Amino acid sequence: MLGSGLIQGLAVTAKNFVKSFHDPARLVTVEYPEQKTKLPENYRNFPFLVYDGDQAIDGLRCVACKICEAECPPQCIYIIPDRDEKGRPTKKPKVFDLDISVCMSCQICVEVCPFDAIKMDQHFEIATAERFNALLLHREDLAKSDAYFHTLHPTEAAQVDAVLAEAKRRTEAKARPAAPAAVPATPTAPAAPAAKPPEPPPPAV
Amino acid sequence: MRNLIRSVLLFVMAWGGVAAFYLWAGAEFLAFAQVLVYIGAVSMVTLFAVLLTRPRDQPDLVIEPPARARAAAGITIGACVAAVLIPAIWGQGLPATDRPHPPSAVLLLAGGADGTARRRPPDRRLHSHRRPARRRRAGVHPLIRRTGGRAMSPLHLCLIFSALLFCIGLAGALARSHAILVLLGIELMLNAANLNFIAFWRYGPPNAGSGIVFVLFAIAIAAAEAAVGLALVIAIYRHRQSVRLQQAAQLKG
Amino acid sequence: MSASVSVLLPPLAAGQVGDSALLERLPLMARDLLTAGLSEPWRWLANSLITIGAVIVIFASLFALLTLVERKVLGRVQNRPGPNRTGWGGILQPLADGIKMLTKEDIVPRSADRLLHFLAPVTLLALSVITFAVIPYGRHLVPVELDAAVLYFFAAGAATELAIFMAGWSSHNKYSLLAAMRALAQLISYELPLLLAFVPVIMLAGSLSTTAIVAAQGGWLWNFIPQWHVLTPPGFAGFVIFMVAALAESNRSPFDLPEAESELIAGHLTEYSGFKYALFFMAEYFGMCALSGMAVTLFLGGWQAPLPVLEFVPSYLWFAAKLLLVLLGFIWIRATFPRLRIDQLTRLAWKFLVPLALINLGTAAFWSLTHDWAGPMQLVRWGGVSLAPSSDVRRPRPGHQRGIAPRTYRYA
Repeated sequence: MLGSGLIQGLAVTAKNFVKSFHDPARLVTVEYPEQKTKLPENYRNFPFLVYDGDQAIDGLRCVACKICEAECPPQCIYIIPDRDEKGRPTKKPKVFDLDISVCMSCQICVEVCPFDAIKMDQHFEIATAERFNALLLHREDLAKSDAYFHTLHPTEAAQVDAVLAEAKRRTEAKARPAAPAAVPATPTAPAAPAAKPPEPPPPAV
Repeated sequence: MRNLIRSVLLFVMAWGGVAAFYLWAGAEFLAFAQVLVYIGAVSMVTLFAVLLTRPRDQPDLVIEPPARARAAAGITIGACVAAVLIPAIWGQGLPATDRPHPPSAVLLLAGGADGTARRRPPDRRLHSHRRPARRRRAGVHPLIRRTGGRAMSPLHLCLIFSALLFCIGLAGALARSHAILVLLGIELMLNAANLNFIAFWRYGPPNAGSGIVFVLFAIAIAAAEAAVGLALVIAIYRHRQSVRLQQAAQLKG
Repeated sequence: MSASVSVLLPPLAAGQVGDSALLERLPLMARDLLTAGLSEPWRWLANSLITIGAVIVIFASLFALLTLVERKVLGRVQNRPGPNRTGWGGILQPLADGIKMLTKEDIVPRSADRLLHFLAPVTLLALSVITFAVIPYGRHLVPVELDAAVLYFFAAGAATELAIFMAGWSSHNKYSLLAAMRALAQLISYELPLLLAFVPVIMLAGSLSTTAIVAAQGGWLWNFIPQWHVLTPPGFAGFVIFMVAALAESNRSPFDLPEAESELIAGHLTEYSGFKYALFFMAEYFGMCALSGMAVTLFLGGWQAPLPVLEFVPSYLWFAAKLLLVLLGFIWIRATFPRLRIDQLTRLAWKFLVPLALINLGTAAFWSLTHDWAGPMQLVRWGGVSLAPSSDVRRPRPGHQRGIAPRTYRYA
C-alpha cells in the first residue's frame, strides 16, 4: 500500500522514543565527566617514571642512562644525569623532562629501558590552557609509584616484577662467594640477559 | 544602484506599494492577491530570468545606461502623455462620493448580542467603524486643501497618481533596451491601470464589485504575461547570448 | 487599513456564555486592566502594542522551548539522552545557544551587498512574524480580524521567498546563490499544493476569515464527534497535502534540502554567522509554528474542544495543545525520514501532490453539494469521495515516468 513504509518507519522511531524511557539499557551514552568507562589494560598514552618505595625522587628506578633519550623518535625526552660533589655520576636523573606535546606514544622508550624504569601511563585528561610549560612534564610530574603501575597494567607489572626479582636474586647469588648457589642458576642464565645493568637488552619478544 | 537585481527588488517594493494602495482603498482581498501573485510569483520568475540571462562577459549584473536618443525619446513621450493626462483628469468634474465601507464579517459578529458589550461604553464599539474615515481625513484632505480653493475629490488624486505611474512605466518601457526591464515597465503600466479600476470602485457607485473582479483578472493575466514574456526573453538569450532588444529585430520587415 | 481591522475585539458569540467565560476572557481582562487609564486613541495603540508584544514573546519562548524539545526528542528516538548539561535537564540550553549566537562575530563578506545582506534576515523574520496576526488563538483572541485572513497568511508566507533570494544573492558567493535558487524552486513548487490544499476548507466553511472557519467547525455530531474539517474526506486529504507541503515550505526534514547540513555547508545561509544566522533560524521556526497554527485553524478545529464535556478548559489552551501536537508531529517526522533528492522533491510536488490537490478540489465540491443526501446515498457519497484520490496513484508504465514511480535514468 502507498505509504505503508512511511508508517512502519514512524512506528520504529516511536518505539525507540518510548522504550528509551523504560529501558535504561538502551541508552548507551556514557556521561563522561561523571561516568567513565574502564580503560582496556593495554591502553597507553604517555610515559611516566616508576619509583619503588615511598620517596618519589629517591626511589626512581631510572639511572639516567639516556638510552630512551637516544632512541626516542620525536626526541621528546631530555635527561641530565645527576652527579655528586666529586663529579661522579650518582645514577640518578637530575633533570628528566618529557614534552608530551611532542611525544607520539610509540612506547619505544619503554621497550629499550633495561631497568623497567619508564612505563606508559593511562592519564588522558591533559587539556590545559597553556601549551608550552603545562605540557612539559618534569621529573616530579613523571614520578609515579610502582603500586600505580600495578593498578594500570597488572599483567605487565607481574612480568616486570618477576624479571626484577630474578635479576635481584642473580646479583645476590653472584655477590655471595658460595659456589653451590651458582649451579642451579646456570640453566637460567642465558634466559635472563637483561639482568646485566649496563648492557642494553635484546628487543622484547 | 546600477544593478539589475537591486532594480528588480525596488520594483517589488513598487508592487508592494500598489498592494498597500489596495489595502487603503478597502480591497483587502486584492491586496493580498497582489502580494501573493506579484511578490510571491512574478518577482521570483523575474529574478530567475535575470540570473539566467546574464551576459557572459559581465562579472556582475550591471545595467548599461540606455542610448541617449532612446532615453530622451522615451522620457519625452512619457512626459507628453503625462502632460495630456493630468490636465484632463484635473478638468473633469468627478463625483466625490465616498461610499461607506461594506461592513465586514467581524463587525457583524460584534454587533450581535454579546457579553462584552456591557463592559464597553457604546461609543467605543463604533470606534473601529469610524477610524478609517478619520485617517482618510487626516491623510488626504489637508493635501487637497493646500491645492487651493478648487473642489477636488480624493478620486482626482488617485487618478493623477495612477497616471504618473503609467507614464513612468511608459517612459521606462520605451527608454530601456534590456528586454526584462521593458517587461517590468509594461507591468508597471498594468498596475497603473489596476489602480484606476480600484479608485473608481472605491469612489464610484456603491454595490458594484466589477472593479475588483477586473483587477483580479488583470493580475492573473499579468502573471501569465510575465511568465510568457520572460520565457521569450530566455529563449532570445539562448539564441543571441544577449537580451538587448535591438539585436532581436531580424523579423523586422 | 479597512474597517474590519479590530485589535482583539472580543466578540462573544451568542449562546457561548458558559462557566468558562471568565477564564476565556482572562487575557483580555488583564489587557484592559493595564490600559484602563488611557484615553481613546492611546488606548487603542497600547492595546495593539500589548497584543503584538504578547504574540512575539509567546512565540519566541515557544521557539526556545521547541529547539530544546526537538533535540531532546531526537535524542530519545536515537537512544541518546539529548542535551542535559545546562540547567536542570538541559532546560537552559536555548539560553546558552542564544548567548553563544549573540556573542559570535558577525562576518560580512567583503564583496557582499551589505544592505541586502543585512535586510535579508530582517525581512524574513518580519514576514514570518506578521503571519501570526490572523491566527485565532482562542475564542476571543484574534490579533487582527480580516475578511481575507487566509489569503493574507499565505501572501505573507509567499513573500518570504524574496528574503531567501536576497540572502543568497547578497552573499556574493556562487554556492549561496545556487542554494538560494534551489530553495526557491522548492518553495515555489510547494506553494501550489499548499494553496490548493486549503481551498476545500474554504469551500466547506464558505469564508476566508479564520474566525469564521473555526466557528464553522464548532458543534458535535451525535454529541461526541467533533465537526472538524480533518474528519471529512476532502478535509482529511487536504490536511495530509497541507502538512506535506508545510514541511517543505518550512524547510523541515525530509525536505530540508535548502540547508541540508550533512551535505551542503548551509545553503543560502553559508555566509551568515552570529545573530543573523540565529534570525534565520528563528524565522524558520516561526514559519513552522505559523503553518502549524494555520493547519490547526483550518483542519483541526482551531480552539474548539474535542468533546462537549471538555469545554470547561479555556479555548486558548486547546489551541496550544493542538499546536504542540502538530509541532511534535513535525519533530517525529524529522526523526524518521531520510532527506529526499531534489528530483524526488520536485516530482512529489508536481506529479503527485498538485494532481491530488486538484482531485481533492473536485471531491470537496461534490462533498459540499451533496451534504443533504441521506440514507443509502450517504454511503454513495462516502464511497465516491474516498475512492477519488486513488485515481492519482498511477501504476508506472514502461516508457512513462509518472506518478510516484521510482525513476530510471537514461544517459546519453
